[in-house]
Amino acid sequence: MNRRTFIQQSSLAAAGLACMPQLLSAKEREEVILGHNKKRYRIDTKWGVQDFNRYPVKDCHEMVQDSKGRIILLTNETKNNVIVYDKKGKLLTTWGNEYPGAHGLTLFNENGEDVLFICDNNRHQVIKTTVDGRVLMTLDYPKETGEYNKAEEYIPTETTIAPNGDIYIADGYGKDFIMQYNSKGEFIRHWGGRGAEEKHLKNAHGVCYDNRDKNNPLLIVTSREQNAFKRYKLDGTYIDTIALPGAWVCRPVIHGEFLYAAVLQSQSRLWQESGFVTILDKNNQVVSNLAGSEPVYTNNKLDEQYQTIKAFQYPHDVCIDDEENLYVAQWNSGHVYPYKLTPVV
Amino acid sequence: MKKLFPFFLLICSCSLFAQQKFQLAPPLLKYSSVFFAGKTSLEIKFAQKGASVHYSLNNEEPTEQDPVYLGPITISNNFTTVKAKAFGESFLPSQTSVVTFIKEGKKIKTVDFTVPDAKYPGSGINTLIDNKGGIDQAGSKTWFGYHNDTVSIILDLGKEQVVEDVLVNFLQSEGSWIFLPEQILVYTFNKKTNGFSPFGKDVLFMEEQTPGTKCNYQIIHGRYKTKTSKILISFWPVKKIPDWHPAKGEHAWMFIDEIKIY
Repeated sequence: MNRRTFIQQSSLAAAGLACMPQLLSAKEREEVILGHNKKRYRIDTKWGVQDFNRYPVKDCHEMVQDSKGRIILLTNETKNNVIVYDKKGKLLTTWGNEYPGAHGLTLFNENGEDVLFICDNNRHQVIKTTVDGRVLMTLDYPKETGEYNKAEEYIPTETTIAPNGDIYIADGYGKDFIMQYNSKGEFIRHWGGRGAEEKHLKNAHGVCYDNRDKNNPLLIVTSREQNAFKRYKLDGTYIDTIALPGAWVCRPVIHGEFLYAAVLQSQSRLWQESGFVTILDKNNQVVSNLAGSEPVYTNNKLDEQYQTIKAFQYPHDVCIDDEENLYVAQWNSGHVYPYKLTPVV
Repeated sequence: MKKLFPFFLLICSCSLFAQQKFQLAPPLLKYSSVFFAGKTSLEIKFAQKGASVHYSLNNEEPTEQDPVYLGPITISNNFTTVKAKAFGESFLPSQTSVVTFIKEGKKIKTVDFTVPDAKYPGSGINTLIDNKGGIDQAGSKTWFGYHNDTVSIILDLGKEQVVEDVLVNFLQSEGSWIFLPEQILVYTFNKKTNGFSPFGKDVLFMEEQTPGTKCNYQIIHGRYKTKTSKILISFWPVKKIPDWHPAKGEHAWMFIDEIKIY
C-alpha cells in the first residue's frame, strides 16, 4: 500500500465511521410507527417473502391463524393456493391448486378440529376443507333463494361460521345477498341484496360473527362501496350502519374487544394504491388507522378517512395472532407477500 | 480490489442502519366545485403527525420554502392553480396534489344537448352551466356521461357577444374506459348566413395511457374573436379504444361536467 492509497482508504473508512452515528440517530429519527392511540405498530414488509419461483403468489387475499398458531395465507395462485407460515415468517407447508378464484378464507374450530371455508370467485362455490386441504363439503350457487338463474351470477367473497355451525356466505361480487346454511349445508334463509334502503348492501365483501357482546351476538357485513359496515341480527334483521367515510373496508375481523379491517383504498383516491388498515373499538368507533389519517369525530360523526403514508397498496385482509401481531395480505400489489406488524407497547 | 474495501464497509454500515422510508400520500384537496362565481375556498386535509403540507399558487412545484397550509385558502382569480405537497422528516415527500379553479365566463342563457346515457344523467338541464363540477369521480351527479359516436351541444348566450375562447371540462379515467374525445369542433352562429360557421377546433392524441382519474379541461381558441349569440360544440368521442389498452377496440366513454365561454 503506498501513501496515496493509504490516505484514500483511511479517509473513506473515516467517512464510513463518521456516517455511523448519524445513521444511528437517523434510524431513531426515521423509525415509522403506524397507527394512533393505543393501537400503534412497527411494520416488517419482509416477513412473508419467499422464493417467487418456488412459492409464487398472485393476489394475497386472506389470512387466518389456526389453533397450532400457524398463519395460513390464501392466494389465487394455483401453484400453491394455501401457504402456511409460522409466526416468524418461515414457510411450513403449502397445498391447493384447484382454487383459481381463491378469495375468502375462514377458520372454524369444529369440535376441537380446525376446518377452513374457502370462497372461490371463479368456481362460484364455497368449499369446506380440513386444515391440510382435504375437501369436506362444497356449496354450490344458492338456487333455493330464487334470486339466481345460473352459477355465474354468484361470486361469493366471504364466510363466517356461528358457534352452532351455521354458515353465512356473503355474495360480495355477485348479487350482494347473505346466505345462511346450517352446519350440514342445508339452506336456511337469505337477505341483503342491492337496493336503496339501509338494510341493502353494495359490494358485500365480508361478513363476520361478532360475539363481543356475549348476550347479544350479531353479524357485521361489509358494504364496501358504501364505505360502511352494517349490523344484522343472526336471522338477518337489519340493526344499524357503522359509517366509515372514505374507507373501502374489506372484511371485519374481530379479535378481543377490537374490530380490525383492511381498507382496500381511499374513496378520495380510487384505484391509486391508497389503502390502509383501520381499527375500531368495542363501541365501533375508529381508534386507529395504520398508514391512514388520524380518526376524528366531529359532532359524533367520523370525518372522511384517507391514506396518509404509502406503506400499503391495496390491503385486502388482516389477521391478528395470539400475540397481538397483525398480518396484512394485499390484492393486486405486485405479487407482494404479506407484511407483519408488531404492536408498540 | 483492496481499494474497494472501504466502499464495502460503507455500504455494509449503510444497509445495516438504513430504515425503510415510506412516501407520504398526496394531501386531500377538499372543495365543493372547481367552478365558481365571485370567490371560493379550498381546504386541504392531511391528518398525519410528523408531516406538514406546503402549497404554491404560482404553478410551481411546492417546496418546503413555500407556505405551510394552516387554514382554508380563498380563491378569486380565474385559473388559479393550487399545488400541495406533504413533507415530513421521516418520510419521502408526497406526490403533488393539483387543482385549478375556473371562474364564470359569459352568462349562458340556455343549453341544448345530446341526451347523455341514462346511467350518467348529471343533475338536470343546467348540468353543463351550473358552476358545479371538477369532481374526479364518475359517480358524481355533476357529470354527463356519453357512449355515443358524436355529441352536440348548443349554448345560447341570449344576445350577441364577442367570443374568444371556449372551455370544456372532461373526466379522464382511461382505466374505466373514460377518454377525452378525439376531436372538439366549435362553431359560432352567423346571423348573415343563418347557420353555424367554424370557430376553432382541438384534436387530441392518446399515444399512451394516462394513469389514474383526473379532470382535464380543454380550451378551444377561436381563430379570431367572433361576435355571436350561439355556439355549437361537436365532440367526437373515441370510437375504438387504442391498442395499448386492455379494452382495445371497444367504444370509449366521454364525460363532461361544465362549459365556459370567454
